[in-house]
Amino acid sequence: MSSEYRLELSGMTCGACEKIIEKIVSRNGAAVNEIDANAGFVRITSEEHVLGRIKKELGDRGFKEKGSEDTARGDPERVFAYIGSIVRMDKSVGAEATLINYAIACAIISGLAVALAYFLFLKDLPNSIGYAPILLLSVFAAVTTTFSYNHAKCYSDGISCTNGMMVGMIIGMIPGFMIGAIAGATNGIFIGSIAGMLAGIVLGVKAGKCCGIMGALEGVMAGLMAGLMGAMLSVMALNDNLIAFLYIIFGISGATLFGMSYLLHREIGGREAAHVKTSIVKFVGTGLLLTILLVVLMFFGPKGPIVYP
Amino acid sequence: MEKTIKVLGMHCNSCNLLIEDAICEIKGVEAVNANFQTGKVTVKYNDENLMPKIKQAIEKEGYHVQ
Repeated sequence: MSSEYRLELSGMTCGACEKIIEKIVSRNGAAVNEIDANAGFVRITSEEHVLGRIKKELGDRGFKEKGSEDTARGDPERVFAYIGSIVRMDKSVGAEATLINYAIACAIISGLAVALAYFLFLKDLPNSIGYAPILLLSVFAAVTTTFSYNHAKCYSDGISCTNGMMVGMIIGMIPGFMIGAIAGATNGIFIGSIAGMLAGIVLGVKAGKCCGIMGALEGVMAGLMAGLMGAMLSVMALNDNLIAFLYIIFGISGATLFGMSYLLHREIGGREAAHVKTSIVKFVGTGLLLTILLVVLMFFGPKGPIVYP
Repeated sequence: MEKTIKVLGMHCNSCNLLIEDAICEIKGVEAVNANFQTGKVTVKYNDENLMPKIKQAIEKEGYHVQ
């Protein structure tokens, strides 16, 4: 006997989503009574025995029934489960586990390179001791930026416009802010803003363009704002616990980038869409290059009138 | 044989699925891959007379074939 069912679905974003859902439903001998991508639901009339098949087929195409997950949205248990699955290197988080291994290797190599450069060449330069805590932040910024950018790239093929815009914004904003803050502290507001904006805009556009002009523009705006803000805040905090301030802000930035990784896994990972599109050599090389650029800018770049230390 | 068609109006993963589904239903089509990022649809088929049908199927879904 046919009955009417209302399915609340995640992943619906546009008219094409509505059409594909209608196709799946009608292919299974059921009928769509009402569908709304904005509200994220579909009302169908279906035989009870085919309902499970419809839900499975919808889920396979990326339209999961809301509430069908083991725990509710917003439950911290989900985040802990995600972290646990990465530690165990489960198959479902293969891309994440691989990239974390790359990031650890990148952090070790970049950290050693910076330490070596510091003790061999940089320690006798003026203000070098004052730069030491910022050198650590440079490694952190380079590694987390490389990780997040490559993680977003893993999912760029199957990403929705909404998620793509969020990725463009975060990748434009957080690295732009971190680089702007470092260069702003050591080189002044002009160089800091330029470096932060440039990094934020380039990374934001590259990460956001997977969902078209919307994502790319989101990256431009985020990079522009974050680059300016990072440099500005560093200069403003020069005489008021700058280093402590930077470490707190960088901690929050790292947590935000982790949040983006979790979002990507939750929203797209279920489709097993993640493919690592980089190699360990490319990953470590990119992170190391970014670290070197920051260190070179810090020690040898042009300086503004008010800089740290 | 394999041919790549330029399609206008694709903007998300559902567009890929919609076009792939529509083309797969045509007899003689062996494989199809739509990519909204590049705006291209690659079709592998065994009858050279199928191309008008393939284009028609894409247009029917609301997209424009260049």
